[in-house]
Amino acid sequence: MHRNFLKTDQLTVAFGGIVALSNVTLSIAEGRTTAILGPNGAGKTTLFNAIAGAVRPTGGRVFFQGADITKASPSRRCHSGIARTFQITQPFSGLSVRENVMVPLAAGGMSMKQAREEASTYIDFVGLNAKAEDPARVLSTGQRKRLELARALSTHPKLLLLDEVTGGVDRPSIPELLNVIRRLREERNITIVVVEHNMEVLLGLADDAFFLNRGEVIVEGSIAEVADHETVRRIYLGDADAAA
Amino acid sequence: MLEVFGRRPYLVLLVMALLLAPVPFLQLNDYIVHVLTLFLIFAVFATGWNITLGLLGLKTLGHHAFFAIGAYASALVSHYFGVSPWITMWLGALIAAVAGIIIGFPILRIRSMPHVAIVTLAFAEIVRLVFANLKDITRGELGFWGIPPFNPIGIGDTAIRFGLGNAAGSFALAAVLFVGVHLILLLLLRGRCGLTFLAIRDAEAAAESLGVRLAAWKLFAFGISAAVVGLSGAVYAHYLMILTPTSVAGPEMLISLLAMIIVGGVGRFFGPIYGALLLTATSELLRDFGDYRMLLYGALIIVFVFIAPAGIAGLKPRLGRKPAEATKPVEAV
Amino acid sequence: MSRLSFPALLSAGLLGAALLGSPAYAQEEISIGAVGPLTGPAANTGKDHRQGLDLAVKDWNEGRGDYVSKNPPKIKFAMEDTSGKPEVAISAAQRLITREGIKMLIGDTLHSHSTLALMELAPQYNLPILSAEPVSSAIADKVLSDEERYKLYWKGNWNSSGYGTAVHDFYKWAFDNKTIDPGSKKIAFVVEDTDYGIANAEKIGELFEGDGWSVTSTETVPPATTDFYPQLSKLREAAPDVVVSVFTVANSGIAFVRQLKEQALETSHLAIYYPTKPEFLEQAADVAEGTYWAALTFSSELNPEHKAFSDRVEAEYGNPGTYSTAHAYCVMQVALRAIDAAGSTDPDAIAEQLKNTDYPCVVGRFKFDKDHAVQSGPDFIPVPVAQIQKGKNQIIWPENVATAKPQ
Repeated sequence: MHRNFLKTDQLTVAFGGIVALSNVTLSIAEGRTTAILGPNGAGKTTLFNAIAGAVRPTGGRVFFQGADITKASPSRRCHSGIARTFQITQPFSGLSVRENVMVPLAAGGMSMKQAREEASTYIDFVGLNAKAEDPARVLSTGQRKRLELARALSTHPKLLLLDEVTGGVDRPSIPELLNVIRRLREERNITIVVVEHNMEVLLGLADDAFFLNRGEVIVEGSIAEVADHETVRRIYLGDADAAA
Repeated sequence: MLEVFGRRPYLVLLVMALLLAPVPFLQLNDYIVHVLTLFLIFAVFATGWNITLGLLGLKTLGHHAFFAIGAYASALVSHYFGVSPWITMWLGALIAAVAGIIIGFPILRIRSMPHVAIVTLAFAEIVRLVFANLKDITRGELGFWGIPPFNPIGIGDTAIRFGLGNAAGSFALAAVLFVGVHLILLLLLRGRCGLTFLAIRDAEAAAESLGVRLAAWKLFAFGISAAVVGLSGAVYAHYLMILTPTSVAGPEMLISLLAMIIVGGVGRFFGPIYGALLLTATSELLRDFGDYRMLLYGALIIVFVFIAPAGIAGLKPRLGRKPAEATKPVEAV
Repeated sequence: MSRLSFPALLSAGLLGAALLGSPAYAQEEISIGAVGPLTGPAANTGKDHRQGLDLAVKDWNEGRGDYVSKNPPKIKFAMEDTSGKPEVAISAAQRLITREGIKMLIGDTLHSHSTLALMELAPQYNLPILSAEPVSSAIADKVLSDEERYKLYWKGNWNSSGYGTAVHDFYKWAFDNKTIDPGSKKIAFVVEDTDYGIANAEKIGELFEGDGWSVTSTETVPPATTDFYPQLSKLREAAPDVVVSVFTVANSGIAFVRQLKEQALETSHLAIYYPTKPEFLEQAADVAEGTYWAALTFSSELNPEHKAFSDRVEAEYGNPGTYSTAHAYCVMQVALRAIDAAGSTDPDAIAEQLKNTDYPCVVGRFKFDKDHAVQSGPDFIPVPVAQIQKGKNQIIWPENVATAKPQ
């Protein structure tokens, strides 16, 4: 097991004068599921974007499997094994569910014919077979989240970044979605980093956790430790209760 | 890709080809054949533009520059160096493609659509001014004349002639161009290319995170799009045999072509064709209304935009789409 | 099929509609067509052309024509819109050819680029074509490049070099009779950065250089410029004896004349085009006194014949006539007389009669040169040079049409 499977070193992201991430140094171990916690605006999505390459850091470095990927484009990071989903889902709405999954397969060099067949594997995995030929724009939010999982999965990721897994998903659909995520780890041994507000969900999903506030890591440890931490309870759970 | 191409795109193209095929043999008067020839040339132009505008989703407003580049490049080379237009038309397309890739580079870095629009619009204006000011070569706004028509093709004893006044031959050439370009684009866009272009259009960040090399694909789209537009410009030049910077790269060309694409259906493969036919044909059919012609023409465009906001090509049974979910989500960073 | 039905049906319908429109042939009258910009930026001028052409046909059909034969044919006239675009001009002309069966085309009435395209139709359809107001020398060059091919094409206006010739000839005349002092024979230009501005500067410069003059500078400015201090300070240094300015926007001209006056340069100034705009004299009369300008081609105030024509247009259409109306009227007269004289609609016979044209009309005498363009100059269509005297325009050259002496 790789202890520093993903590592950020003094990672800083500033947008104009606003510092969204400040000197974040963290390590994520291979094969584990790590939660990133924090109140709104703490910098969780910015951290995700910096790891996935969608945002250029203003300082610091990102290492993946020991290699410095700070300057790599998102597509190169994808090819090296990092995949992500989005806080606000980003389906290719003009394409069918199957075609959505074919996009990464074709980008990976597969022929269209192969990609069309291969897509079924991932669509089945997330349980969208009944919707395979429908345009993505007709899917519900929960289905879109699953579609993003299928797309991400088809890139054969080693590291999967999940942004707000249950955000906007109706309650009855949540268990099915979590089940899919658990299977990712169990059946495919994918290292997962997840941003999630729902502590209940996280306790059943994550091993480790980092707590971010105002762009800095304040608390880290196992998910149970972090969830119980006094500061976390004060800042975050208060915040979450207020939000709920 | 269903909503872009429909269920049987090859069948649609075949039907179009079959409708066009008998036209040169119908002994129609030259006026009608000329209008249909213009329709075919503008349809190819609009289809080419639609690749970046509709399929890639970039608000590029400067494609009339590629039309002008293709037209002038082919016309100048054939005029000054005596090269056959059959060869120079490809050169025109190639030079337009290179220009497309060059203008593609700054656009890669621009995320805001209004800025893409401004940059491409400015590019077209620069191209127009360059052609207007290279007076020693292009004669500027005085007009570049002496453009040779396509060389005649002999079949048995009869020679097919091209250029203004040779209506049937010119139509046949435009029809072959039309069917050929659309066939090649169908083969290309129904595959990996189209899939990737549409993915970039719908969710650029997602596509990139899934391994799509944005820069390469966008430049490729610009190249293809500009090449098609440039090719149509070259055919236009050797057909009309006169070019002025304003008539090919001026704002009127921009507006006519955008209207064709919008009325026909932005982002629908066959949309620009319907738009080109509707606008080219009606602007002529409306001549019977004399002074009210342009008024009716404008009203027609407005009516079509209202009754068919997705364009003529979008006028089909809705695919069980729920209106509430039809809006595209945007990423909040 | 249902999924491709609507668009397919629509396109089939349109195609069908386009195909079924049948030509209407056979009439006893002779059809003449015209194409020009009735919509778009130049629509105002196109409208003037239509009135002029229409009025000439009306006069002809109602017994007021200037006939050649005893039995002049009746004329049917139709004009189509080009929107100022060459490909639409071709559509418009072909529609007239196939639907109206026209025996002669007046076109383009305004645009040179459309004319360059239209003249290709003359050999293709064996159709006499006479353009109205286009001036581009490129058209005449094209005729000379292949006279046999363009034998049916004639250009009803003088070449764009006409201004240059007029300005040169005026100054030569003024130097000869000591109205203006040539000084050290230096000329300078301030012109707008368009073909019109630059071509005029080049032509005038060329003619002056032929007389031993030197061109000190040619300053170009974007159209609609109103700040000329940088250009004027350069002029002050070069100290030219003659300054020629060319702008198509009246505001530029007003600003230029005002700033020239402020700088008090000791030079003779000749303005091209912008003083034809009425607002020039309204706003710059105080500073423009003594300015020479070209060309006062149409003036209801000075020329009773122009006044009479303008009044006729006013009576018929409710707006005064302009140079464009009068010129179009004359072009149609020339066309009608050629058809009348030819005695048939044979294209070669009509072209032959056009070639023989020598006809004095309201804007001047129409006579074609070897390049198929009508000639300009004191003996033909005058390009008169005017001077602003006591806040009013006066023609000072050529002498045969002058209304005042230069001051």
